Amino acid sequence: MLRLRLPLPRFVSAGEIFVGRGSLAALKSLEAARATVIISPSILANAELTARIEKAIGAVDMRLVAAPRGEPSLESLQPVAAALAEQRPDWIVAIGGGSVLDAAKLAWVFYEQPEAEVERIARPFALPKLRGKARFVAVPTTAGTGSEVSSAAVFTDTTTGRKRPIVSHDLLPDVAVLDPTLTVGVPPAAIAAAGLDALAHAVESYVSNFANPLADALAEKATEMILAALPRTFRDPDDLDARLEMMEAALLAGWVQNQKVPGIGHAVAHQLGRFHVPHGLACGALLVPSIEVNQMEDKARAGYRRLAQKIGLADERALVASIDELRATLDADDRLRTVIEGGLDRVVPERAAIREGALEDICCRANPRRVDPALIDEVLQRAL
Amino acid sequence: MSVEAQTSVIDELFSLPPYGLPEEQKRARLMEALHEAYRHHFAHCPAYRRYCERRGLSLDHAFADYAEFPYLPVQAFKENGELLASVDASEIKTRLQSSATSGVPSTVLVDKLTAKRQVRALASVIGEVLGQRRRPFLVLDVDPRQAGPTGLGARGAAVRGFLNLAREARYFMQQGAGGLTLDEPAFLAALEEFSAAGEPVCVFGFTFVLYINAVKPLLEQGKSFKLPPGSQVIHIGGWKKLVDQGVARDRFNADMHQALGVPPESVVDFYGFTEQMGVTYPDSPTGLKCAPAFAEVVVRDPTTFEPVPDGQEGLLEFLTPLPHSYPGLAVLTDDVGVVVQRGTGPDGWQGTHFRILGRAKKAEVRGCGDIMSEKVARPRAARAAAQQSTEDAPPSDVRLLFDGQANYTPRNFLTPIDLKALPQVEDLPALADRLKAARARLDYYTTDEIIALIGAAARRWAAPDSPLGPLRQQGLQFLSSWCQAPSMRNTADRSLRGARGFLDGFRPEDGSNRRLLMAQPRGLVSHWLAGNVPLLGMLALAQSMVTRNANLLKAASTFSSVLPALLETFRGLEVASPSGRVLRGDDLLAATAVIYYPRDDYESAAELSQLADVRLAWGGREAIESVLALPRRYGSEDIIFGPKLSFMVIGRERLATPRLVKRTARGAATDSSVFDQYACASPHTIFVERGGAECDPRGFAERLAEEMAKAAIRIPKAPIDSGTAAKVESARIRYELTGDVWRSSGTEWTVLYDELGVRGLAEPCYSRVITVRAIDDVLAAADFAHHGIQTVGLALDGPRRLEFARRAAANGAERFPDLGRMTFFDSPWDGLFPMERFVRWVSLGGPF
Repeated sequence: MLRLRLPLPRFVSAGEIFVGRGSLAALKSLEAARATVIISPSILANAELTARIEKAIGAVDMRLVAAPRGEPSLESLQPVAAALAEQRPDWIVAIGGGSVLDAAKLAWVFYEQPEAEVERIARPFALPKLRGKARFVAVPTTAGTGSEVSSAAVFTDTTTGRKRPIVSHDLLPDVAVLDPTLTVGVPPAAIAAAGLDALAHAVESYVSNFANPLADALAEKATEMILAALPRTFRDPDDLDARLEMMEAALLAGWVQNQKVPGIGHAVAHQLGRFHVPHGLACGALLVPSIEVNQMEDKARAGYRRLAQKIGLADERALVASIDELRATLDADDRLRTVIEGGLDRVVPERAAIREGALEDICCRANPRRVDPALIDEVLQRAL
Repeated sequence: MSVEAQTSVIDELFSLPPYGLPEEQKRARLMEALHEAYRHHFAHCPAYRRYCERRGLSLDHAFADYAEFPYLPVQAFKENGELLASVDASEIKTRLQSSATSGVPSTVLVDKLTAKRQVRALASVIGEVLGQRRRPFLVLDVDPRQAGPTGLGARGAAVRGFLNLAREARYFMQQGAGGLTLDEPAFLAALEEFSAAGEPVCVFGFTFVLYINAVKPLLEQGKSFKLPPGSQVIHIGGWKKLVDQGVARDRFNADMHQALGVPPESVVDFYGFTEQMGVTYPDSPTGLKCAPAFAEVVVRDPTTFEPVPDGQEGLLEFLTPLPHSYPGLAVLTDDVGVVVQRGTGPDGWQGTHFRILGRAKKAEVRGCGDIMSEKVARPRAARAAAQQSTEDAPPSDVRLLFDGQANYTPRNFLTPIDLKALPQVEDLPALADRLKAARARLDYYTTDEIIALIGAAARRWAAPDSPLGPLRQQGLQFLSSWCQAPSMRNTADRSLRGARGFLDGFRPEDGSNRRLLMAQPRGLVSHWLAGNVPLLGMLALAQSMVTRNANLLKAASTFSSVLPALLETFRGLEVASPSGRVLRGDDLLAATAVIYYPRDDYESAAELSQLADVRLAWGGREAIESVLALPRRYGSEDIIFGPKLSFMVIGRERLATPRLVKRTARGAATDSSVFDQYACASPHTIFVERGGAECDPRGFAERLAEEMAKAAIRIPKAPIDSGTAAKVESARIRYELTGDVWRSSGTEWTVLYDELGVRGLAEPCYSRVITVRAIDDVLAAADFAHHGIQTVGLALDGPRRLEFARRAAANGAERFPDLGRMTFFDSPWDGLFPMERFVRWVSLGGPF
């Protein structure tokens, strides 16, 4: 990968991507000596699925290791890191939702760089290079986070409750597999949250300050696909075609967010981890408020309008209406208020920390409208 | 004043009794003669004139004292002998060349007048010692008439000079293919003949030849003679080689007495040197030397070169107006002596009495490349010489400096070690077994956990409160940064087929798990450390640790506490890994030990070598060849970082703007200052291409001098010994004869400049002496690379950069770093990846 200092649009991605029913079989060709498969506990509990996975991965010695439950923290990663230090794999395979993929990426980092200090590697692109020890496969089992094509891994800082990303193109997987047959059993609420996260990736990033025409085309396609497919998968989780379509849409949206970076909605959503709000849920709730505050400026409004028109809607208002309609379909309208018991009143005492955290988040730099504490307050108020 | 008048003032001196002139009279006459000689050489030798003018002297300068005359060091005659001519080339009759015991011979151009004075001066002094009566000479040398067309050089001239007092001369040495051999039957017959005849004879020869080839064999055969009373032994040529063999004056004289029956007081040593051939200094009856009427001695401080008071030791400078054809009127020698008395001595001789104490301490050999210019000693010869040294400890005396239990060296690593106070290693194989057993502890750690441990220790080395602070300017900062985990990981990945993961078990080669590869530690690595760059050893040791080898290190005699001080940082060090495992520095130390044994302890050296699965040696040629000559285990691996030299090239494109010039000069100054230029990768010559828009090569030298001055503040220089100071001073003087010199007021730094780029690399002087040479096409400098060249610092751009590196690499050079980074340790180094040599590659499956 070229080391550029210029802010030129570039397109980075996972090395190889396999998509489709049964595409997990591609991992038969992995040719690993020792593979550690970091897997979500729910899949690990599924004997049939586990057996399929074991059969599908080509490795002389393979071990399945449970990923920590929920979003990873340095503390919860320790058993995974210990398993890696013991087995010393040359391939790491992550199978699960976005949190599992992020947990596996972080475990990979500490396996290769046990001395790594979080404060140092959390600086953007400060992570020393990976792969002297192992390569990485991402197999998402939800359609939303785009972690399989993301240069970031997010963890929760348990001392502050904040989510912190480690960003490096070295974190892009060598191989990604999008197999809808692995998404069996994901509850509708999780499908909705992940899908709204993907939608936010596409829409927020579309108006980002970081221009990237290639990614814009993908954002238009992703938005169109999500608006159509997400209600279908929500209603009928067994509809494999719809699930595959959502996985593809989430992949497109993941590409978009990785090249262009979303905006204020994601910046604030990253701060709501302290209230144990699932990331996708927060992003979904904050998407419309962020459009509303941004479109007060002409440039952003023109961007939303262009996106709307590209997908066959009249203008930005129609886009907002479509998103509201989708959220209603997904029963996501009041979810945020439900999760944060007490709503805005509960958030107010923590507002200073939320502002501070959001302003430090790279997503604020990408937001088309200059972000200040007042804008953050307004977004929160509209969401809650 | 006419030449005739000049010669008369000077020549009058040789007709005076050499030791009969009262001090004041001698001073008046000799000073006048020296002034005349000075004016003659100033007027007729352009190089000498240039040299004098650079020192602010004019043709008519009046010198108030002997010490004020500008002197030339003997080394000036080695490189520039042909330039030192004060007469037309057609007048040169002879080119005298010294015997070159110290490497490059001196060249002295002799015309008819100089030769005539040499004969007169010699005759005058020799007559004083031997009397005017002519007698038979038994000469332990080759007959000059049979010496072939090239003659015997200065040696032959000296022999001929002494034989002026011979009634007859018989020669007893023959020049063969294998060197000089004694015609023993003829010599024995002559001794018998003259012993019986009763006429005093004179046995004459060079000190070393006389003793080793004639007298020593006689004594070994139990033969002795009694030459008639009044017989004498006269020897010339100096003591250096004999002293190297442990033969001092007393033993020499006693053996002469025993073998030839000549009492010690009749054994006369004549001191002299090629650069002032004809002036000779015999032992006076009191055993002192005495300057004759036509010469004087000045003693100079070996570091500052200022004259010292009588009674104080220093370098000997001799003045004489004798040389007419070359400006040898004041010559600074490598010999150390002391003025004992002035005026009339107890022997009745008048003149300055002095004593010669030996050769000046040679420049300390610290640089790997320093050895390049030296004659290579065969390991066996080196061993034999070492065994004769009375200063070395007895054989098989291995001491433990450091192991997993303790650091036995002083806490302050600059404190000299009392070796006798260190624990003795009774059983080296047992120590090796212990280290190898402890090595297994490292198998518990992943490669990156070991790297993390080393990185944690390395951060402590450079911490503000680190006890290693004094080493900051000797590369500590760099070492610390080089040993940080990201850097070590890169080195490991680069060295091990792109993935350090091979150290952690079998993994696919080329993506197929039908064939797996693994890098297996070799076992025990024996290191022989060098003393030139104290921290160097750690660079290899860290790599050996990462590859999970046990390490047994033989410290150098200098800086021997440095590595223990670095390793001590690991003791008690604990690092918690994200996996919850605790990484312990003590586990690394358990597999590491540092020992020392004297360099003549062949037995221990051989044992260390035979125990090794990998032998790793740093050092000069002699040290390296000694290691290579040791017995070794079949299949063991050798990593040799031997003597190399380096240089730098600067293309005109890097001299295009003021900013580029400054940056280039700054980088060049850094490279020439780090490690005081003692690293293999330090440049000694900088080739600067003509045609730079901003400055020409000479202008660059001037800018470089400014940056050298700044670098001296940024990178303080370590104190230097007197031998090195003399070498620096001598290099400066040589360039004052032929080129340009920029220098610090002391010996901190020196920039030399000449237009002799086509002649190639300048002789390394070390100690921040850098030679800038102008060159028309910098690509031509690629042809100066050879297999003894390690690094060429490149300031070139575009295709020329690639082309230069390609050409120079084909000639043998190995690294082409950027300026300012030449001495940064790197992988590969000396053409190899050390880490790759610390492992055995093991395959599983296949082959396909």
